[in-house]
Amino acid sequence: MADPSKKRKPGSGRTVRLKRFLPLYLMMLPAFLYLLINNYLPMGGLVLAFKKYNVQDGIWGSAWAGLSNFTFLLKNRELPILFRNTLGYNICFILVNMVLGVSLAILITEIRNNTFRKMAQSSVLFPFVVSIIIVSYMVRGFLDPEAGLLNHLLMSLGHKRISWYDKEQYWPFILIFVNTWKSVGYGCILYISTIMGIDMSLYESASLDGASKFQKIRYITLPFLRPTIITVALLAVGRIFNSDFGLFYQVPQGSGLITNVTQTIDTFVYKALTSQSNIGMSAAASFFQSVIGFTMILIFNTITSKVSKENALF
Amino acid sequence: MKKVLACLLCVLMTMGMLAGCGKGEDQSQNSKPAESGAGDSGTPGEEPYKARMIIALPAASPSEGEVSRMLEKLNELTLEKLNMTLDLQILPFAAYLEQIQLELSSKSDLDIFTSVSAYGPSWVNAGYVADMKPLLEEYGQDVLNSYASPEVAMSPSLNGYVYGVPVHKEISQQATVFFRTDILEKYNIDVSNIHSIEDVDALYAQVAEKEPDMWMIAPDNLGMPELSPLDYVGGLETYAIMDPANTTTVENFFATDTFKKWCTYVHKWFENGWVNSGAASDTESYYSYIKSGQAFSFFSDYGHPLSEIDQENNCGGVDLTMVQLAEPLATTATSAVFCYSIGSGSKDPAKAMQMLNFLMSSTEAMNLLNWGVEGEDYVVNADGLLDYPEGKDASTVGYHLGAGWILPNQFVCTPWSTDGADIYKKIEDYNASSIISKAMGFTFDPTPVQDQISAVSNVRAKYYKALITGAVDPEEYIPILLEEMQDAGSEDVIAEMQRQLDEWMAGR
Repeated sequence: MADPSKKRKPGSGRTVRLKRFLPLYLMMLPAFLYLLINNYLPMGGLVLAFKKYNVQDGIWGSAWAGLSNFTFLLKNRELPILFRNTLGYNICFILVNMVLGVSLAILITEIRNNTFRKMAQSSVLFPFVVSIIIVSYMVRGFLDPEAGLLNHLLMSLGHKRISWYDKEQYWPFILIFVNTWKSVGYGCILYISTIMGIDMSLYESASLDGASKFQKIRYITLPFLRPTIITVALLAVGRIFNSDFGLFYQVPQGSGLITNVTQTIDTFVYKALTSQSNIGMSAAASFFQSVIGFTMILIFNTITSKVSKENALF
Repeated sequence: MKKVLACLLCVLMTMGMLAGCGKGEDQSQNSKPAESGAGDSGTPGEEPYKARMIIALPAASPSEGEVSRMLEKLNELTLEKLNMTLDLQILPFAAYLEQIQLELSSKSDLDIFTSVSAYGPSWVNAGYVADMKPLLEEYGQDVLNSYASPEVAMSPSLNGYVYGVPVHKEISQQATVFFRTDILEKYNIDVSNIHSIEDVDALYAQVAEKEPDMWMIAPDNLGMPELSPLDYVGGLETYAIMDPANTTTVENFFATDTFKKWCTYVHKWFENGWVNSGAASDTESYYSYIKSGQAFSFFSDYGHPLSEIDQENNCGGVDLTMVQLAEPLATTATSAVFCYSIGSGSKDPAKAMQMLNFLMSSTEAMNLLNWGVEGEDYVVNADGLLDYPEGKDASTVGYHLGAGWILPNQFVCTPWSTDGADIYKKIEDYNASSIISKAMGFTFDPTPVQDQISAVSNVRAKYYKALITGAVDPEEYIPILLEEMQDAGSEDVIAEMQRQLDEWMAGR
């Protein structure tokens, strides 16, 4: 966050500066309080990960449990698969969403007709606001072994029907496809707004110098997009150990045989703990995810600041 | 200087807010002993205690207006008898599960609630529920008297900590199969000589020939019928005592012949095209396929006297014929699927117990809860049974739960006309005729093997649905399941279960 006090103006003392910026501080206050109460105070609850929680003793009064809440996750044989799936899918999602999001954003901003551009813009964003439950039934509409569109198509072409929900080889593609369809619009809108903010005169002078369309994209649009891309990617990397629960739990409709390619840390924790109401173990799992997520942000940010300092978050 | 002031102001305001929250808490805590003190004296003229209650319902709940219309009458009653009022929420099951966990884990002031006994042990360990034993002994005489013995009343317990009293209903389960009556009549099929899954298989072959497009069975992907009497100890549906009338040896259920037999038959039906091939991942209720006429039959674990009516309601009024495939068996899990518990955050557990005691013994109160307000939601017919008022039916009546099996005590209700005057007697006879598992009353404490349980349940989730709906070949997949279960630590769980069970048996 920019610290206004660093902008030294000749002749302005502390008092004057404070007077100037007091309204800004006051404007910040509600959001600051919100952050403090909503995001920082609950962090105390992390202590639950190390407690054998009993509601009658309260959070602080419950007995300490050491690291025993973590063992169900860390000692599990499935852990490598969980890591592979959670990380692998998230990396794919980040890359695919970035490449497709940027390309779509560029294509959409190239549309001349205003009405059509607005329509295209809204239609890429639309899937983002569709509930994942509805998405899961749309997918079912395609993949249902008895009544699905794809199986009807296969059978009318003389092939045998495929029980999609039992065959794990298809699911990496299905999940990546669904995720892209659903969430590409979000990044895309951010990229579009950045592109719209680029000074048109740059393109005009590039045209005068005889730059082609691709050269303009390569030398003007992409460099301007870079900070946005990095911010979007950095935010996504922070959640690389969290998975979109709805996508991995609802879309495969709980089919067990494809678990090896659909289960992530979140769905594992959910399945393992729903019947146990063990708050300590649940807290341990999300604590673990947050620690790794935070470490990933630090690593990614260090790399970013090495490559281009001005784009790093901190 | 002013910057400092601004900061100070900022801090002060924050403190003010926090202090505000803190104060509220303090006050409520201070008032706690005072209130309960007043409650004990029970003098008339004092402020009536408002008990909060949550009831779970399998179907959609009546609208809020209808509930409060019923509650007005009920509160007149409780105010007169107990000087208490009831603040009742009736929640459909999915919403109930979410809300109850939220309420309990935050120690809300919930007094009485429907509880799922499968969650009981972990709720005790997390301190969510009050120990009802002393309360029952002091304030719950009518509750205790409504059961065959106080032991039955207090059977939902973990190491002596009573977490609920079971709902009054049938205590046993047995494998049954339900056929569409219209199809049976169409082909003139007699079901009186059907007693086993082999007979059902032969019947399917006969019907499938004539109805090639129909699914013979719409499988439930959540559970399979208990083809032979078995006791799922610990409630995880993973470990079982086979032949529980005579032994107490815990086994891995998936290694038994009973499991394999079911999987083999259903897989054969699957291969024949007689099964909904998407059942393993289907989130649609299998009842809907019976209702739509797509499927001919389904298996179930309910064979009690009200079962056929219940299942016909579930299938949207389709006429069904029930066939029993095993003897009814009562176990810890089947005898107390649902309980009524008192929350550990209750402001006055004694009052809560008095309220529950009243609800479970008052015909007037139970009729209100189950059937609504007399004259508005039901009328008493010439036989003294209840029926819909003139011109109303199930879909137009304002308040009608008709779900006695999840309400505190349906046995004190006046019977509904279609159920018959002796329905509750029939259920009690059915209960009396059941085989009782030797481990009846034993509750498993999962704490020592929690890691293994979560690992095994993850393995189970992988294969269970596919196996019990016939989607995969049991010859190939049962060995894989067993091997992965063993790696996940199933033997530790069995050993611990056996140890606790033996200890419990020895202490009887």
